Amino acid sequence: MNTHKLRQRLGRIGLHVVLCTVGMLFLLPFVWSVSTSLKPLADLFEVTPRLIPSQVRWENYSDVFDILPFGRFYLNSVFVTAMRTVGQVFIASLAAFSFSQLRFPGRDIIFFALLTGLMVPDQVLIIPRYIIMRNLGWLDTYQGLIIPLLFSSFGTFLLRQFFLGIPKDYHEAAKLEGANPLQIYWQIYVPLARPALAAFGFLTLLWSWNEFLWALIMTNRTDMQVLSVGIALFQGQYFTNNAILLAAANLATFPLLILFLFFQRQLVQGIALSGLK
Amino acid sequence: MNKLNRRTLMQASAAGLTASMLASVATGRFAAAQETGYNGEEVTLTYGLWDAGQLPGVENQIAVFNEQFPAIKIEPQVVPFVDYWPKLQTGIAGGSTNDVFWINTANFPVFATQGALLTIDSIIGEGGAEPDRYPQPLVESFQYEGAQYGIPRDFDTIALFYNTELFDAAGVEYPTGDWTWDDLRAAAEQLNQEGGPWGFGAILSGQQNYYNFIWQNEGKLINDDLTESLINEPPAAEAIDFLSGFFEDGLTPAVSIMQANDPEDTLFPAGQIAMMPGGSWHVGVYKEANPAIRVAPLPQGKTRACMIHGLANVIWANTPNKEAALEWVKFLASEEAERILGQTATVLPAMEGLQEEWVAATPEMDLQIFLDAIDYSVARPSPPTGPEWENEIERVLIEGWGGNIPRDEIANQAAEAANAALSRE
Amino acid sequence: MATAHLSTRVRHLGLLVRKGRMGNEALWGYLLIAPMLIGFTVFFLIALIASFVLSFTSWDVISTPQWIGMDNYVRLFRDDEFVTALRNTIAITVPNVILRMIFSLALALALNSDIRFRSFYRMLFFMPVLTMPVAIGTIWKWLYDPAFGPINGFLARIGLPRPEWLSNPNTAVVAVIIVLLWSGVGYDMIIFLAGLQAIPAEYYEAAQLDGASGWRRFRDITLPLLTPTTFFLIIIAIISSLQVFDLVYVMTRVGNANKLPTIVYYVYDEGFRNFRMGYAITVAWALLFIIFVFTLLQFRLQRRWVHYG
Repeated sequence: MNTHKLRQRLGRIGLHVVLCTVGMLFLLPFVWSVSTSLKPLADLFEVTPRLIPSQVRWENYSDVFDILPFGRFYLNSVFVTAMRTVGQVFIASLAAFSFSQLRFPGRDIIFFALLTGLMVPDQVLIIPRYIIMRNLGWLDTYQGLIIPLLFSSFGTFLLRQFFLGIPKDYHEAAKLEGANPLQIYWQIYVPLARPALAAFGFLTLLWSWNEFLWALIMTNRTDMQVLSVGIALFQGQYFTNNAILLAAANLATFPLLILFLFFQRQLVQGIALSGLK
Repeated sequence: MNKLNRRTLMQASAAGLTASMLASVATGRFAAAQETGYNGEEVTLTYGLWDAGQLPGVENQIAVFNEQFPAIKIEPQVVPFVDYWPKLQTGIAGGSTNDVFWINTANFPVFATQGALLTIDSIIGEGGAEPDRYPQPLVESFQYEGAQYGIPRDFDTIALFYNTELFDAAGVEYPTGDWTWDDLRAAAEQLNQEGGPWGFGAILSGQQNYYNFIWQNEGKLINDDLTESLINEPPAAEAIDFLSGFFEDGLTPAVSIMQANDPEDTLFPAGQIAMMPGGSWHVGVYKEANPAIRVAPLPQGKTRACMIHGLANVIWANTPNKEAALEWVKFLASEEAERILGQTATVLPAMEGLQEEWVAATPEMDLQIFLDAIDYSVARPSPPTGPEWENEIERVLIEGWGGNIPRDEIANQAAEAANAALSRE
Repeated sequence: MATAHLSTRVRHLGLLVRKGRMGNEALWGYLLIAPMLIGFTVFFLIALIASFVLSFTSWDVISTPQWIGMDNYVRLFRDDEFVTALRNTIAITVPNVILRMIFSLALALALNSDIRFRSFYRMLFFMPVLTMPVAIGTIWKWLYDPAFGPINGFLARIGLPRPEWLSNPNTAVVAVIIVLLWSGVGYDMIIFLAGLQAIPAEYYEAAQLDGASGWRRFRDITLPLLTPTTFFLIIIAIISSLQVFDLVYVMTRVGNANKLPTIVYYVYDEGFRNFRMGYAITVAWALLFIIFVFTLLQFRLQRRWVHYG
């Protein structure tokens, strides 16, 4: 084997070593989370957490469903998250396309004004928004949980950057064909920006699944709760059984892992210049 | 009941309300409870609480209540404790919150002074709620300007938890009811080992730790007008200094260690602390976590003292269902409802005489101590500006005990910080 | 045939479009941003304006707000606690953003190349984003535990001093930055990966035919074409870092105090725990102002280094 190939080989192995070592650190809380969720109550009072429970208690997971209507929380989360994700991706990508490809007076000012949506912490606006919801009669409703959260400055910004990065040739060609902007958006830019749309969609899904404050304030009835709030209910005022809490949390996280595997497949090479007809 | 009768009845009860309030202000005693004026219509009340573990007991209460009032539906709504207050405030500010909800002594004054609560004077007296059957410091905690806003639901007091294994290993005699501060200190010195297990847990909680010592030394946290903190006056300052000694001499885990490992949740049940003052709510957990744990009364200083704390059911001032809410609260204050709580053996019902189940549920510990403590208990003083002054005292003590303030300056700075909070809007 | 029909229609439409092109494009422009704009106005802007008005009041949340004019803003300028919170926030933000960009780009490059187990590694580094905050907070508090934690245990064994980590404001900043990096790189990595995928393969192929080395390809193709994504991530990193709250809420609190309060923590504390919502909103507006000005600056500067297709 010549030295060049050997150096390459060693470099590769070195990379794997680094990735694995650092990677273990990234896995640690997840491992702890699974391990603790299987512990009996007595194990929770140790100063140095142990990896293997003294006695594996699978019942923690069934206890979750016995204590609270966890199944209902699941359904609520799935529905609300699905609607929010689809809605956000659609609305933000439409706007992003317009901001990046079309010209109209005040375009850049309006875009920058939209960015203020990122600059204010949620707690500041929660009371005025609550009053608006109450006046609309949307408290404890699905529309109240979904609609106000469909308008993502983050998504508009992200997708605008991606759309700006796509070579202008596509837009020019389509315009020559006489296609209207909506058609250009749908038939050309959406397919080209697939990795970006997938990334945004997945991140939105994650965010929505874990979103807590809005759900907490907007819903009162137990049957309207989503997972993030439901899990918090396992915390008592003075004591929390962390094993059961983490069992609930893991149950909520598990589908996200599977979705991530699915999402990875979307990260394929998006643009091929030869597609220019 | 035809309309004329109903209106007359409601007018009569309105008159009755004023009369009973005048009477109570004049004599401090309540005669007969008034009718709430509830007319049997279908109503749904939302009931806010912060502990999902109490739901079974609450459901039982609802079931019994519905036997008498089938048309009043009660919907319990649980919110985690930490998020309970922001959500309650948002709801009140936004004009829609629970009809009836839990409130504790620390937060009561702010809500009462801002007019967010409805008085319950009308249901007090014979046939209704009887404040005499509850610990008086707690009953007073839920009064404002002479009117009663809630009846205590459950309560907790403070005692000294200790680890018999650590005592046996060090050959020290267990704490007794006669212990003084000197006994506590001496035992801590004998039990203490560098780097743990520590002899004493001087936990960073006023309710469970330093308030008790201050009161035991006949010190005061705040003046009677609730305008100025007296924590830097000699009796209180001495108590603080007594505790500072534990930190300086390493007889208690350092502040940084307690920040990383909650002493109540972890260090003590794990056997890293030999003695720790704690609230009665720990009993249920400790008996599962560590069978070596026992209870003794808090040591006495110049006198005996411990803090009593509780929560009450209160009514939102703007609820559209005032009459039904009053019926629900009247029921919750009744012996029947309190008895249901007692049977769950999870919390201590506030009404006297109903705590036998709770005591009997853990025979290995002498839980009667917590009940006896009512006799020398003190409720936290609650100025209308809210709990900020207490948080400031806690912050300064944490800084001081963490070594960032000279020992003899701690009490003074604590008083300064508390006074700044008290005078702020 | 349906397609023939469609293309005729498109050609007709094309004629119309070419005639009134400018006006029509503007119309389309507004139309496509309409849903976003309307929703943004109703569900955000109105509340934002309401909050601005509230910053001129004294409000304990439970009763009606009292107008006090500029008092809150005057108070802000003399507020030591605000200065502390601001200092802490900036001390966290600057190192966090710089390191985060470097690490996540490096990670994305490594995981975009042809190494084996690529999917597994991506999952690995993405784990923190999927992990619940309670698990993150608990595990890191244990790691940083001055008495029983493994970090100090290791330092003791090799004879180094053992810091108090989360209990000391100076070391707490370092501790928090590490956790922020740990939990943030996976997130950025995803976006960088999408950005890398968007670079047409043909560019690399052409460069390789020209004999360009790996480093040259990286410098002349990858980096420039990645700048829109990089720009986005830097802005997002700065904005989210300046608003850090959850982590300090979980890790640096002791009792009712906080060893490392940040601005948003201060807002939460003043608003919801001290019943001074009017002032809390004022503080939030101060932060908004800082973020706004900074972001505006970034947008102006982007012409110098961001390369759009």
